[in-house]
Parts: sequence; structure tokens; C-alpha cells
Amino acid sequence: MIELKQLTKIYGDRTAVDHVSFTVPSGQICGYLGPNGAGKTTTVKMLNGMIPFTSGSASISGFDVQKEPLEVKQRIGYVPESGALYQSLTPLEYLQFVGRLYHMNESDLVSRIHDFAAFFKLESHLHESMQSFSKGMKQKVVILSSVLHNPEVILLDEPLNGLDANAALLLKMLLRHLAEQGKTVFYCSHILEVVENLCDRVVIVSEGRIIADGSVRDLKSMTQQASLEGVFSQLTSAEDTVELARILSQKITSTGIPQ
Amino acid sequence: MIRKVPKQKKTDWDQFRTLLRVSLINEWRQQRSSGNKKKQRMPMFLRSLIFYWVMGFSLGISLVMRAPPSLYLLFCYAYFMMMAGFSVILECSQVLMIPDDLDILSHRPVSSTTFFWARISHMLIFILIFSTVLCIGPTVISGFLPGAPKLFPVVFAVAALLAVLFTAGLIMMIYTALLRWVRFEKIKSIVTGIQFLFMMVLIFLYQWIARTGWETSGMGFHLKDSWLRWLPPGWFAVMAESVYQPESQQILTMSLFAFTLSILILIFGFRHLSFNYLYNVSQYNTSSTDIKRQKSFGANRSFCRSIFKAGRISHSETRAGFFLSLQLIRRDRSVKLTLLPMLAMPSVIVLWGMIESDIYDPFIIPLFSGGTTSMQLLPFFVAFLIFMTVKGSVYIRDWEARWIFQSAPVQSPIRLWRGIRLGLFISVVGPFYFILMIVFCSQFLWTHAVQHTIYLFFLGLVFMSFVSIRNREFPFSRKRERGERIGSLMFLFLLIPFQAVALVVHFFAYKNQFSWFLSMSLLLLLWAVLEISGNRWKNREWMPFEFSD
Repeated sequence: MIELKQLTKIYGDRTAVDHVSFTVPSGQICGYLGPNGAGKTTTVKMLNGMIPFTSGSASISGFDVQKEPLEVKQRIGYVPESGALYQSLTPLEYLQFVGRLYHMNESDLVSRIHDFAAFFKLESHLHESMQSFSKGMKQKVVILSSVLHNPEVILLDEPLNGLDANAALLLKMLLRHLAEQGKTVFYCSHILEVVENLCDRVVIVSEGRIIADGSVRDLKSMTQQASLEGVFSQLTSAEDTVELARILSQKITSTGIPQ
Repeated sequence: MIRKVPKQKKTDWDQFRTLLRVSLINEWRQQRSSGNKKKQRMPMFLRSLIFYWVMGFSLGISLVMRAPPSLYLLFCYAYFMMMAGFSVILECSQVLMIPDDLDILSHRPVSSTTFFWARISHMLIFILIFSTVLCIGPTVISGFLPGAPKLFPVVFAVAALLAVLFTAGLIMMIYTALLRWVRFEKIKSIVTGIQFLFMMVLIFLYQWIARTGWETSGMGFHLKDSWLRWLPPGWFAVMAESVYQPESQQILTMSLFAFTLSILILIFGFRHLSFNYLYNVSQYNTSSTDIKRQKSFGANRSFCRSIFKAGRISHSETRAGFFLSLQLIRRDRSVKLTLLPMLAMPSVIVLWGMIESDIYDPFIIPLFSGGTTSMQLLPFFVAFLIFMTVKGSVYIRDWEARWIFQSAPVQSPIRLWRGIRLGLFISVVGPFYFILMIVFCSQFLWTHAVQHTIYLFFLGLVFMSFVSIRNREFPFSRKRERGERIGSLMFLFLLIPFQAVALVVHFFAYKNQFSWFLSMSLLLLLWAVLEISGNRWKNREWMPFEFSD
């Protein structure tokens, strides 16, 4: 379970996250949406103990994030937006390294890595340097590293970056099954179709504040929109995006190619 | 796709100015922001400038008191050239081979020559700033050389800057030529060796000029009478000397000729290499299409497993650190380029020790029996190697991967670092000790050789624990800022007290076998105390960093 109470983060004179409060119970997939710079990644980084809060509190599985960070970290799996990893290692070496940081048993760890890799079709690449990997293959390794230690809560920040259609489908189905088994999933994304189809509940933030919170059906009926895209656009954009796109396209084509 | 370009493709000077301006603005802003992190730390660039200024000034003071004017000029120019070479090797070579704006610019309509000249000019400006600061002290002091004309410092400074630009240009040209002519896959694997070799050659040549200069000099030493004038530092020294001493003007023509010829070679070389620079550098930076299967460094490796059993260091965080450091030192180019060239300086000292036969049995010959010897310098350079290795192990090109340390439940960063240090010892410092022991064995009784290696090893352990106390960052988690490597050399001054302590220990340890064993026991005890107390203190220190961004 994830619980946020008046969580706030201020950078200098800019408030990135502004008194955000909500609870995500076990077994729920919660989508966290917002325009660029709304404070989504900052919230996730505060939740997994990577950056301190300015005020408020947060707990994961009953453990306070600031007071008991190690208990929290032991219970979460995190897929960062950057997807950065040590590319000169092989997937096997990197996953072993991560498993050791989570104090996993060495022999279980290796067999678990081999088992998991097979699901993402990585088993034949386990001994290859990740420098030659595509973005999608690296992302698969990052995703595996987040679930290797059987976390209670999974925090994902744009996890589908670079994944092919099959791998993306596998991940979505995996998250659904994990939620059914009681895991809490917190899913940050810009891909509204995925959030609409996958998440039990959607929290929309703008300029650090929650502006909507509910199931996709509730949000649609509240805003009288047919899709989550419509809901999102109505809640977060003051301008008419269709008209904006028309004007910009005219400006782009109004000049010739420079010689 | 970047292609090889026809040779007539010209430099677009408007684009060149734009590229240079943007890269300098970018550099300036990065340097400025680097000082704002964590307690208003001084920017690395500024730190490096201070280091250069202090080093230049110390050199000037120490030389003016002892050397005749011609030798002063020769040594200063040799030193400037060595430091300029260091700057290119340590700070710029990677930038030349792995430009950070390659992804941004390679698909734009910018010609290879324009991109190349913008890069080269940026680096030359950078090196020129460093060198100007380095030259300030010796330039001012040169005005006080006996009989120096009023405007002599101006001539000295101009010749110094020419020397610096010449060296920087030469090394940059060698790097670019390697990109051009060596197969891409090959150069990737040999680039660390090249760095190491360049460093060794530079230090060795400087040492050679310094030692030969002292040996051949009398108070009436003139470069015009010495064959040293034919070496590159000699060209510049003669240029300055010809103003200072009119009788040297007859050899000035030859020096100018050699210098001009070299400059012409550099210009034509650069011009030729610039045509396909973009193509070459993009090839170098493209990942290999050959998928290599890596030899596993996993837990099954019996050697590593036996180390853990023997040392009873089976904690998973220590293991994580140990294997990570071994794997990255072996594979990651940015880590190798940071750590391995540091072996060059101690290696040159050992090499000179062998050449000049001043590596001797410490049980037989007292430490202070003559002038400065390699035996006296070795503890200093062992400490240097350990210091630079520990400091360097926080840097990596994939620094963004550090999120794993921040999001994983790392209970004790100390345990993690213990593993990292063990890995560093095995793969960087250990081989140096091994070579030392072989060299000692070749010079004196093998039991004494082993004992002296053990003494240096224990000194190294103590120093590594001492240095690690200040290390409050996760390993392999930082991006290197420009000037940082040179700036970290400033801490070399901190090694001087350590050297003094090491000499005192040496003095007592080698009185007899009993005092040796006693001294080693004390060193081990000191190491244990430093480890325990340092760990306690550091674990407390680490807690706030748990949350650092």
C-alpha cells in the first residue's frame, strides 16, 4: 500500500509537488498522469527515497519513507524513466549486482535471473555486453531488475519506453496479474491509451497539484468526454490543441528550405 | 547517415563561430553549476587553475635559486609541455574521441571540417587558459634572472604559450590520426594502453631532460653549447635565450626552422584529418555490431570465491561492490581511462630507479645515504596511485545508472565500498605491487625484496583506509567535469605529510628484523583502527546522503 499525506517538494521558489495526498491500496494499479513538468517523476523519486520531501509524509507498506528508508526500499521495485544501467556489464552480471544489493541468496538469484530472462526472450543474450543492446532490450533488463526481489510495491516511470509491442503487452499483462496477487502498482506515463486500459484508477496532476482522482469511467462521466485523452486535454490544457496544431503547420510550411 | 566526405568540402566559418560560441557557453555554464552543488563547493575548473598556478610558481621558485638561466628556461618549457600533454591526455582526449555533442550535431548540415575545427579550437582555448595560469609564476620570476632585459618576461611568456600549443596540437593530432588510421574495433581495445603509454613517455622524457640537464650543467651552461637545444623544449628555450643572450642568435634560425616545420606539419595534418573526422568519430562511438560473449565474472569464478572465503567477506553488498568494480575496470572504457593511466607515474619512477641503480636493499643501505632516490620516492607514488584510484572510482560514463544505489536498500555504503576497494586492489594496485616485488627481487636479496613489498603494501592499506574516510559518494556514480582530473592532483600536496611519516617508519623499520616486524605490526594495527573508526564515522555521515539527488 502507498500512502501520501500533504506531500510537498519545493525547489528554490518553484513548487514541484504541492500538498499531494492519496492512498493506493494493495492490489490496485494506479495511473499517475500529468503534462510535462507536472511533478510526476519528482513524486516517484520521493516515494522511493531518492529525494527528500520539503514537507508532508509518505509511507509504503506501512513504513515511513523518510524514517525507515531501507525498509521501504527493500519492498519496492522501481523502473526509472531514464532506464540507465551499467552498459559494459552483461544482463546476468547487472541483475546479479542488483540482486546482491537487495541481499538475495546467490544461488536463487542466478536461477531466478535465468527464469525471468526467458519470459522477455533475453536468455540467449544474458552473457552479452549491453553496449550492443537496443533501447528496448536494455529496458527489459531494467524491468527485470525491478521485480527480481519480489517487491510489494512497483513504481514505474514510463516503463514502455523502447519496448516492442509483444514485450509491452507482456508487461501490461504481468502488471495486471501482479495486482491480482496483491501487489501495488504505481504507473506514471504519458501514453493515455495504456493507462486507460490498464489502470484501475487514475490520478491526474498539473503544476504539482492533484486535479482529478478516480476510475477512468468516473473521470469520463465527470468531464463528459468519450476518452481519457479528452479528459486529460480538458483538465490540463487551457488552449484548443487542434487549433494550435493547425496554426503551427501553416507557419512551418510558409517558408522554403534554406539553401 | 554520416559518410566519408570529398576533400574539397570547406569549413563554414559562420557555423564554426556558432558551434564554438555554443560549446564555450555550455562549458562555462557546466563549470559554474558544478560549484553550486553541495555546500557551495569550489568549481573544479577553478580548483584546477589554482593547482596549476601553485605548481608553476613552486617550479619557478625552486629553479631560480639553483639553476643557471639557460637551464631555468629549458626546465620550465619542458615542464609546460609535459603539463599541456597531461591536460590533453587526462581532460581532452576523450572529448576529442567521444564528443558529447555528436548526437546533437551529426545529423545536422555541418561539415566534418567545421565540426573538427570547432572541437579543436574549443580544446585549445581550454588548454590555453590552463597554461597561461601555469606560466604566470615562472614568467614573473624570469624577470629576476641575473641580467634579464626589462621585457624578458614577455618573450618568456610568448615562447611558453607556443610550447604549450605545440604540444597540445601534437597530441591531439596523434589521437585524431589514430581515429583515422587504426581500425575502429582495434582502437577501442587499445585506447587505454595508448593513454598509459603517452603518460609514461611524457613523464619519462621530462625526467630525462631534467636529469640530463642537471648532469651536463655548470654555472656557465648555455643551450647553444648543448645538444639539448635540439629537443622541442630546447627550441623554445633557445627562442627566449636568444633575446637574453645575443650570442645564442646564431642557433635561433635552426630552432625557428624546426618549430616552423613542425607547425606546418600540424596544420597540414589537421587539415587532412579534419575531412573525415565526423565519420571516424561516429564510427568510434557506434556500438559494435559484433556481439561479444563476455567471460563471466560471476560468483562461480573460483578465484573470486576463494577470496571471499579466505577473507570472510561474504556480505552481499561487499560482493556487489567487488564484482562491479572488477567488471567495470575490465570492460568500461571510461573507467579504464580514468584508472589505468595513473599507473604511469609510479611506473616511470621504478623504471628510473632501475636505470640509475638507486633501488637498493633497505636493510643494508640507509635511506638517507645520498640524494633523492627512487627508494625514497616510492611510498609517495604508491600513495599517489592509491589516492587517484580511490578518487577515480566514483566516475563513469554511465553515471546515470547510479539510481540503483539510491533506490536499492543499501544498508551500509561502507560494505559496498569495501568490495569496491578490494576490486581496485586486485585489478589496479595489486599488479603494481607484483611488478615492484619482481623489480626488488632483481635488485637485492629476495627475502628482503618480499619484506619491502610487504612494507609498501601495508603503507598502502593504511593510506587507502585514510583516503576512504573522505569518500562520501557511491562508487561509479558521477559524471566527470572538465578540469576535475587535473584539479584532483591538487590533493597531491596532502600526500607530503604521508611521505614524511612513511620515511620515519622506513627509518625505524629497517634497523633490524625485529624492528621491521614491530613496525609492520604497528602499521597493521593503525590500519585496523582507521578501518573501524572510519567506518563508524562514515556510516553516520552517509545517512544524509541516502536522500541526495
